[in-house]
Amino acid sequence: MNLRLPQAFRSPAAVVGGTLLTVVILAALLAPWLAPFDPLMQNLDQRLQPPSAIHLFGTDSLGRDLLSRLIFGCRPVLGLVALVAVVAVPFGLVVGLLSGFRGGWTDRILMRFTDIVLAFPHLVLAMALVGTLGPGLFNAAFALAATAWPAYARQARTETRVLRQSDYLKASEMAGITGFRLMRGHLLPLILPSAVVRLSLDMAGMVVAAAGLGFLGLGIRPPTPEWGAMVAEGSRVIFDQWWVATVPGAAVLLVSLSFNLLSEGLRDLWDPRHG
Amino acid sequence: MDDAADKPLLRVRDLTIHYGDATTVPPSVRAVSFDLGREALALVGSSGSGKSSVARALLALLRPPASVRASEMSLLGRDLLNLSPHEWDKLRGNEIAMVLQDPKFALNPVLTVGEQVGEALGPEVRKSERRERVAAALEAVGLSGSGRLLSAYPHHLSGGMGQRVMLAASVIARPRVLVADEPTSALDADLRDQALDLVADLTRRLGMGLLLITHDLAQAVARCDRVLVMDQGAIVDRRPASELSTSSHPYTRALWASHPSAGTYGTRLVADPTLSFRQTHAPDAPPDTTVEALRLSELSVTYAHHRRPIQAVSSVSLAVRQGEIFGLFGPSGCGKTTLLRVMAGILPGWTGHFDLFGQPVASGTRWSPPLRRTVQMVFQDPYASLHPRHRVGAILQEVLHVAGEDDVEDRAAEALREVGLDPGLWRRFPHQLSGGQRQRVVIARALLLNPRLLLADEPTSALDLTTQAGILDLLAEIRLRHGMTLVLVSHDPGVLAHLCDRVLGMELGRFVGEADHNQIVQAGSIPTALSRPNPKER
Repeated sequence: MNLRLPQAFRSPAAVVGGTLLTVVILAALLAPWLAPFDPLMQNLDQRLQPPSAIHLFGTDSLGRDLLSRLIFGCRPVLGLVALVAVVAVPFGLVVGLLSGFRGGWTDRILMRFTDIVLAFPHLVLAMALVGTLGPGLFNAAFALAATAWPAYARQARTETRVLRQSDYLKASEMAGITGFRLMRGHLLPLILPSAVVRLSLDMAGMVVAAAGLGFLGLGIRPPTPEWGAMVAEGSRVIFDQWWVATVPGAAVLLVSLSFNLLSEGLRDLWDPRHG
Repeated sequence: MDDAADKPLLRVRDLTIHYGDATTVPPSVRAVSFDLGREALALVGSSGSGKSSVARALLALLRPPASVRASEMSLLGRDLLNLSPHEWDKLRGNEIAMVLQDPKFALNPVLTVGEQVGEALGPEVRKSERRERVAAALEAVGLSGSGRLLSAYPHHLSGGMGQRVMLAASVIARPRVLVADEPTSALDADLRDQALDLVADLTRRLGMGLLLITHDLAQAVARCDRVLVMDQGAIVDRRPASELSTSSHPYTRALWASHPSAGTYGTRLVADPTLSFRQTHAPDAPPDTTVEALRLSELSVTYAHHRRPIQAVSSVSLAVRQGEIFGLFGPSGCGKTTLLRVMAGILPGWTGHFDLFGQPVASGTRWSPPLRRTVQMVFQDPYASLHPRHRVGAILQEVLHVAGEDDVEDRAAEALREVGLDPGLWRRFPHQLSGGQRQRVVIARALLLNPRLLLADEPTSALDLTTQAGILDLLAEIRLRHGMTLVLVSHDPGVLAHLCDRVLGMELGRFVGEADHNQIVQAGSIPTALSRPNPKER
């Protein structure tokens, strides 16, 4: 009767969040097969249709099927978030590890640099960067990554400094395990879990930030479907055709919510106090 | 045998505790029965014997998956087995109370001493009466009941004072029964005796029943009327304290034998205590006194603490001969661990002269790998000195690997065998080992590089007496087999008297005296000149 479930299933939050995200990821991967219409196909006869049996979520001002655009819109959101994670987390960890491990001037210089980046409001700095680099998926990802890494660096530095005092690192030092080997083999495995939890927490914010850039026209260029840009477009007709803005807006909400649930679950599972 | 002088306060019959499913998991406590009257009763056993589980069950502190069954458990005739949580809230603290192990964790850091001690009284007690009773409780434990102490916070208190405050908070509501679970394991040896005397004395004066839970048989006998000895979840021996030293029960005898003292110097503590380890192994090569293993002269260490310099060690000079077991003795905070870290080369900022095997060592420099290998260290807390995410095998292999050795796997397995561990533990993580096993892994790691000098920082203070006995035997044995020099730091006079050829006493960072083994034997323990009473507690 006591079926042993994988650890993740013990947290309901993680299960709900994980399931929702799996659906979104599948939708992104299988978009061409799932979408009932071509997301770019305009049909001006059918513009601003309310939700119906043919167009489940209705159509936008150019008569494009909103469901299809929604499904294809999963791709830039996930791609952007993944790019940010791949760039920001390793960079932040390296800066934090070096800073905490070396101390002294390395620490001072790296941390003052981190402070400077941290002093700017995220979205404003990202907008400034996209403004100079020009809109587009990679530029938006770079801009968001450039504002996301300092939190990881700070956290990694603090943890490294605490861990450096620990007896087991002193023991490794006495056995001649130092430098890069100590950082990679001994420190990194200890600071990685909290960075991953932080990342899953941050991802909710990144989804919203990515949509925000799209909303302001600083993300992916139209006509590629992107949720933020879709909301912006729908906001022009929001009082008469509410569904055009509501559908992508709800999608942003749902995805960021599922990242939040997943991170909460992961935190519960990885917290040492939960064994 | 179980009949107390008068009517029992607490009756326990067939107490059985399971951690997990009762049909598949063997019980951790099996059919324990005892009565407690207005007396001091000790429950003695090594860690894992189930003695703390009994204490927790008495106060209904165990939560599922733990399950508690008994045919009877009653306090003054009142059944304890079927009380609601609300009824327990009223009972705990008022009728039956517990003193916990470590004041650092048991005292709420944001409450003052006055608030903390008065908390057990409940809201219905009026302010003026509350103040009086708090003062009386603090005075009963030998603290001042007025003035600054009442408004002090836990971090202002020393360990001994924190212990007294906890005791005052436990007895303020005049419970009938006090359960003390290893109440002093967080304290230094001298403070420990004082605190235990206080617990025993106070419960006697107030006419309470005391259940003292400890792993130290000598402490139990000195303060309790009767003693129950627990092993693997069952009570195996029960007798009046006065008869315990002559008990014929093999487990009780083993507990006695594991007690280190000046009288056990040169013998094994485990198994056959009549055989000297000096006789069981190759004859002790005469120590090479021409070269000193270690010489420190006028060594000082100063820390900057919040920009204020604090002198942790002030001009200490000492010399350790090769092949010697040298002890550093003193209360916590006396600088002995700092001194050991200088010897280990992991504390770079010091002044003075430091010679290692005849070679001068410079302050503030990184030790060269060959120098590094001559000195290894065993740390105080085996729970903190192994990397939590590395497996035992990986921990040992990496040390050899980095040192550029061959046969890494075989030699690491051999090291495990040498410290008395099954190489089958290879794939375990540290948290899957017991404290004693962990400390053996730490020792194995220190031995891998064949050091000439082994430093041990309170290697057994986190372990119970029986585990300690095994580790002390192991240290003596490897010292002989490898002919290495051993420097041992401890606050426990018994451990030092048992193991050391020479002991140096320290206090407040200064040298206070030195005694060799003969002087220790003459004095019966570490001479009092080396263990001045703690500076008066404020």
